[in-house]
Amino acid sequence: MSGHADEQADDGGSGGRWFTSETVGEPSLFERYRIPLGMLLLVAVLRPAVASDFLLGYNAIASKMLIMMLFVAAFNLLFGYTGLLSFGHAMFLGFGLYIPAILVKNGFWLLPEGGNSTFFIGVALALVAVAVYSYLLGKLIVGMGEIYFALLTLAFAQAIYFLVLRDPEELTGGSNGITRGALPDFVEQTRGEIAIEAFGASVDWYWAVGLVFLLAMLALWQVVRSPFGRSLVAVRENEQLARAMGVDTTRYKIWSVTFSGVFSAIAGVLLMVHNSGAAIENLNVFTSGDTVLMAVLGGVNYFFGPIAGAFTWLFAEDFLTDLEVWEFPISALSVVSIDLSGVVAYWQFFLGALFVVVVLTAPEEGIWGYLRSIPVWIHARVTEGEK
Amino acid sequence: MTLLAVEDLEAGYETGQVLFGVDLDVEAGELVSLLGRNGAGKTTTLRGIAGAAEPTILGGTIRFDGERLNGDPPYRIAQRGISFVPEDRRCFPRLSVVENIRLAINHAEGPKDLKTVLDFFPALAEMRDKHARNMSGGEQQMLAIARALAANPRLMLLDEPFEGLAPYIVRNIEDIIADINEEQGIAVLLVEQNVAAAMAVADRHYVLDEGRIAASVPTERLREDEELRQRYLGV
Repeated sequence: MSGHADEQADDGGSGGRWFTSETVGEPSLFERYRIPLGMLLLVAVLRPAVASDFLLGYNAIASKMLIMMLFVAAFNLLFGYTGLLSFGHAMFLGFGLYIPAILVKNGFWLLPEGGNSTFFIGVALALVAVAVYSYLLGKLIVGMGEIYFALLTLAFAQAIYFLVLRDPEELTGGSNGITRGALPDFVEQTRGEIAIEAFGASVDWYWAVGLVFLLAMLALWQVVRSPFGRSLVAVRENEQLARAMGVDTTRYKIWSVTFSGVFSAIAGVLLMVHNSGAAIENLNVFTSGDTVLMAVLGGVNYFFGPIAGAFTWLFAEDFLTDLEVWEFPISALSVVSIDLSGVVAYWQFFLGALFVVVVLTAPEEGIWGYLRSIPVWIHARVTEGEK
Repeated sequence: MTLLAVEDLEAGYETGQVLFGVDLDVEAGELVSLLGRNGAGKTTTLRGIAGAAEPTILGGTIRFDGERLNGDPPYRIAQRGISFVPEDRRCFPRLSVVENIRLAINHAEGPKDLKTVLDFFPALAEMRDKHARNMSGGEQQMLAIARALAANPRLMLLDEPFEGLAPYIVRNIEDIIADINEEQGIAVLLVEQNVAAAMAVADRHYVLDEGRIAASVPTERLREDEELRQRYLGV
């Protein structure tokens, strides 16, 4: 562990301090709630920032970022906090994507096609289904060791992917996915912009996502810092010792898979509405792989790690893909302009290189770990000067 | 009353058998040490009792309070009232002092409360939010013992509690172990290389040699019998 780490505290735990490792009395309100406050701030500034002309210049990317942040955070409950690497996390996303979409599109029994009640019952059904599925899956595979856990999650995810692709009952749309009729009445879509109609008011999709994101992330934060979550950390840190202390580690791992699955499916529901349907690409092995990469890039040891990772990933993907000419400060008022079209075609290479650097230098710290160490580093320099 | 009764315990690893019939007893409230040279099987015995994933138990019985233990998963053994403090990696590095202790409290049957434990360890109470990885070896050992105490056990298994600690910290930990035994009435079985420290705290000593108990002696005998110490312990 490098030197700066001594000053840090795990995000999930009791108030960590940025500038001192000594403990003086109770943590302040700000320290105690800095994670919820941080998330609130994130939702408030993310879209105005990324959708501005300086950066990506369009709205939809911000909602997608929040959705992926939630998904990667759900994944990290299993990987970062429990130490179980899932290579098939897209399958959990798939429950939230497909079950409500299929129900809303086709209707079911007393539930009308496109009905609001159909959608909410579909969501409830998806969450119950994913909970039961991930619990049983966990029960079957957590005892087999870390490598087999990774391989078996991959295998199960592939099985589900091919089932959805083959579309035996003509429900999933196979390789086309579900492209129309998947949205309930209360979701309004005009020229690519989505709005939620509720109680006579119209709410922009981003703020609806933001609300669900905040609620889900707060719930996840509570899970992480609860005695249950602290036991998961104990399982990750030293499974033998945890068992010697009375922790039924198998049971805890199974519940971790279950929680992770349910939160992933919530992200799936959001993604379905965001895309106005279910796309098979979100169920494939690349989605699962990207999730692992985003979490590691961001820093698996921190609650905000997956958020930083998902942001960096999606930002790079979007920013670099569209970037052909770099103009400074903005395109309308270009002082400096550099042609980059030949370079940024390889954006995935640069992202891969960044990933390699992170893994080689600080595998569990990630981008968030680096960011956290900056104030500590500055503080160290300042106090050095005082002496 | 005999709290722990180990009879004819045979155990080993993939690389070979280590214990060839160990017999030992710990009475309720007793403080016993298990001594022996490197590789005599001290840690193997302790881990066998705690039900750790390794070693594999090949034969014999372990009884706690009259009930057979071997075959139980370690978390069940812990819940029955045996707290095991392993030799290395004794604490959860990314959990704070309080979180380490709370973990034991949350998973024990009839645990002590946090305040009782912290009152017993004023030094830990002063660093309640410090992470275990930022603590010294002696502080971590203290935390590991505090955590074991929090589970409110009837028997504590300590694997080399003095290893790698400075002499004045060794005396500190000795006092803590003695207090736990005397004030709380908890029986202790400790494995030790440091014979002097073991003699300072324990009433009775088992001497382990090549996977069997070679002698069971009270502290005075061990102190006087130089030949015994020379032959089995090399001191």
